[in-house]
Amino acid sequence: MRQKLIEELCKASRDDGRIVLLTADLGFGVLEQFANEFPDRYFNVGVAEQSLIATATGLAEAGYVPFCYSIATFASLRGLEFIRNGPVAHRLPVRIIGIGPGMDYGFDGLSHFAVDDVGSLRCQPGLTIWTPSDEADVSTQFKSVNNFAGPVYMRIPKSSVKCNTHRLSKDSGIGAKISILSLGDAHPIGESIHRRVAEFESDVSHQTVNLLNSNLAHVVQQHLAKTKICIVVENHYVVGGLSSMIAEVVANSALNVLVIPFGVESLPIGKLGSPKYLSQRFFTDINSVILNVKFELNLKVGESFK
Amino acid sequence: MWENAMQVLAQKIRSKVLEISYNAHKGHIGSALSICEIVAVVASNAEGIGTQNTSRDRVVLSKGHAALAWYSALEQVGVITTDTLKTYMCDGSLLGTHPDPELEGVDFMTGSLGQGIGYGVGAALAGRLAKDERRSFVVLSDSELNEGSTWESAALAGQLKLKNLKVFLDLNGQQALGKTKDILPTSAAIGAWEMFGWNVSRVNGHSTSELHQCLETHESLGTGPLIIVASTIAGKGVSFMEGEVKWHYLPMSEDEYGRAVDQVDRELESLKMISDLS
Repeated sequence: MRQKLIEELCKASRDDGRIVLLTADLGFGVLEQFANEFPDRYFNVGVAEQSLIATATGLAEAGYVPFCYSIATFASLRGLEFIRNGPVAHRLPVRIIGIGPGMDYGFDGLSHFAVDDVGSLRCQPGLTIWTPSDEADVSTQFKSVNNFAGPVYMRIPKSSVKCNTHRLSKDSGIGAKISILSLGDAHPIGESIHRRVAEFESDVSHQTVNLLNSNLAHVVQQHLAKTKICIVVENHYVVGGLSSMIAEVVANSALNVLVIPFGVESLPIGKLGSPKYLSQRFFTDINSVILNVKFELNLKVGESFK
Repeated sequence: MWENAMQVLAQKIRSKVLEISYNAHKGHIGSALSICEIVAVVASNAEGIGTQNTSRDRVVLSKGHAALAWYSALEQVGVITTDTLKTYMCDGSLLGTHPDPELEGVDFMTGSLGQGIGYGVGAALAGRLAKDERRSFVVLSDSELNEGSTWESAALAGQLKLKNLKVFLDLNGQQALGKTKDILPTSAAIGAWEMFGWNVSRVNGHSTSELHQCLETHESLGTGPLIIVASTIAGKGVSFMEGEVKWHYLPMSEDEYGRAVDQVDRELESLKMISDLS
């Protein structure tokens, strides 16, 4: 998926001389295409994420469109204050590419996990978080995302799993009684939950969320108009990310919806393994979610909130 | 004659700093008085300040807490009006303790130390990419040498050989709670700039002619980014403020203001007389 993103970036750069790529000394086997084709617009700033964002801010103020490349947690958290005081405060089109959402980096451990990046960035005014679900999303969405006037955080999985789920948008219409929303790369888990729920409840829908910005609250509010239970799936802590955002919309709009978060429940240390293994260890237990849903349905959902 | 005019400008800025900070009952006076000559030289040299010209020179007051000195310089060179300057610390003003990017003449918001030099590096790199003559001026506090991010940017600028980057290091030896040598002696690492490929000049930071000459020399002979290590005195020009840490924070009483402005204005008159004679 990283390669697909760089392919799209190269395509855009052929027509747009404002694009510059900065890396904090990461991207082996990924960035060569850009570096070879645009050597004058490619800079390795060293292992220096604060400098990465600050330099990009100076470039963007002058009219350039800098892309900053690193592992997601380094790109987002190491330079967080620089993002806030730089591209956010100055409303500049800095694009921050963060590779490896959630526990994508498996055996590399918590130091490499981006389980709190969305929570840290989604409160920044004017900043868009883009989380494509698969390579097809990268191809179809890159151009429009790159047209945003403000800063964008691009949360890109290392590899792509084809996503057959519809993307949530203003045209998605009203969701089902049980609505499942998956953030970007979390769609395979969302699909599993969808299958399990569909075994006992036919009025269930599943959408992926690819863009978090100021427009999303309105889209979610419309989508959940008839929903009773919303299961939010994300490769992120269950606090601060998409589920928290959905809960805010529900509370602010006085919707009668139970929000069930599904994500990283506890500090992911003490066990190393593949992303699949780690998800079994640290993610919400899918069986407990199914039980919770059944319990709420048996209570004639809605009455329990009166 | 030109050199003396620059010194007069610096002293006018110093006088404004006192007047405006007294009226606003606000501190950060010592830091602002420390850089009056530096901002006078920057404001006189930077082209296109306050315009939207893409290829204008960029100015970053990385030590944002000394913003009043930069506001006063902007007023003196006609970028903002005297009435605007007088809104300092008023509700709804664009002139706060730290620079707001929506104020004319402010290219970047600063206030969090260690960030401004990185903006300056990006601005200089933009000039290289655009293949134009723009320069990037950064005013850096010696306390910002405590910040690791300053060194990230210093190394990058040296590596990129950004000759159009000009940094003024305000080496006054003081920071918020004491002397830099007692708190974190990062000023001892001045030699590192040379090792990173910078052109390093050491001058009296209260001599506008020495500061200006550094820029001129660097234009003709420089090979990499320039750092002017400007030895300064916090609170410069007001005897009871010089070298006193408390003036990083305290506002002036009426009596203190009277004594301070008397000293500064007498020096200003003296400089003007020299100017007239020459």
